[in-house]
Amino acid sequence: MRKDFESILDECIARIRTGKADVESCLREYPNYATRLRPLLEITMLLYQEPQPQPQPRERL
Amino acid sequence: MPDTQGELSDEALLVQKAKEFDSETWTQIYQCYYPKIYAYLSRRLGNTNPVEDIVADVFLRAVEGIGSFSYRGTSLLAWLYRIAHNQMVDHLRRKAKLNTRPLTEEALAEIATSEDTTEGVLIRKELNAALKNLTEDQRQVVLLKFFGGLSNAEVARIIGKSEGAVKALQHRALASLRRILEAEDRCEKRL
Repeated sequence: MRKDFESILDECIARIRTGKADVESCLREYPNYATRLRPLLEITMLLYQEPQPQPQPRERL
Repeated sequence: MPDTQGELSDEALLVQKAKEFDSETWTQIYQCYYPKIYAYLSRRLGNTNPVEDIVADVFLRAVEGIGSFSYRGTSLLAWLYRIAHNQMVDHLRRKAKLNTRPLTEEALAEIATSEDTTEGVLIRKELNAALKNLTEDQRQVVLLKFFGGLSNAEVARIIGKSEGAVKALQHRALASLRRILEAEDRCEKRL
């Protein structure tokens, strides 16, 4: 069955998150979608690299 | 100890012990999930709101409501996010009734201090500012999935949409973030 673009994007995001793939390996796997995937996966990488806001020590119970 | 992705080794047992009000279990839940719930609310409300008070309320509600929690498809973390979302909405409604300044859109970019000028910090500031320009549903998907580590199914249950809709929102959110960051980049280059 042919996958839609949103499912392919979702699959790539899941694989990047679990460390099973990076942006370039995803693009190699879906060369027909590479142009559309690249900017979205680059943003994905930025989001995953974003540090979590941390509570100040005095804020912990 | 549960891992940080909310994938507990034996979550059903944990929930069972939590229902028995086992103090060690609740300490474990609190220590594991406090940082995630704090981060979620902090990103939504900014630093000017009493985030730590709302997080405390979330865990209080969790203790009170654990008896009605059913461990079937919904993880404990997803359930806590749903409580956090409801508490946040209640908080904002109370603020609105007091006729105070609306605060929902401010301070997402306050993670970095104003003195920080490294490239990484600037990108993070831009990214956090760009998040404010997403629709409510798109922002929820980004926060819960990319920062919260939830699955599409869990996000779908929290925001009341289908998994297909979550995938579509994810796609549109990433495309919007890209467009906003590119526009900012073009503006900076013109200056």
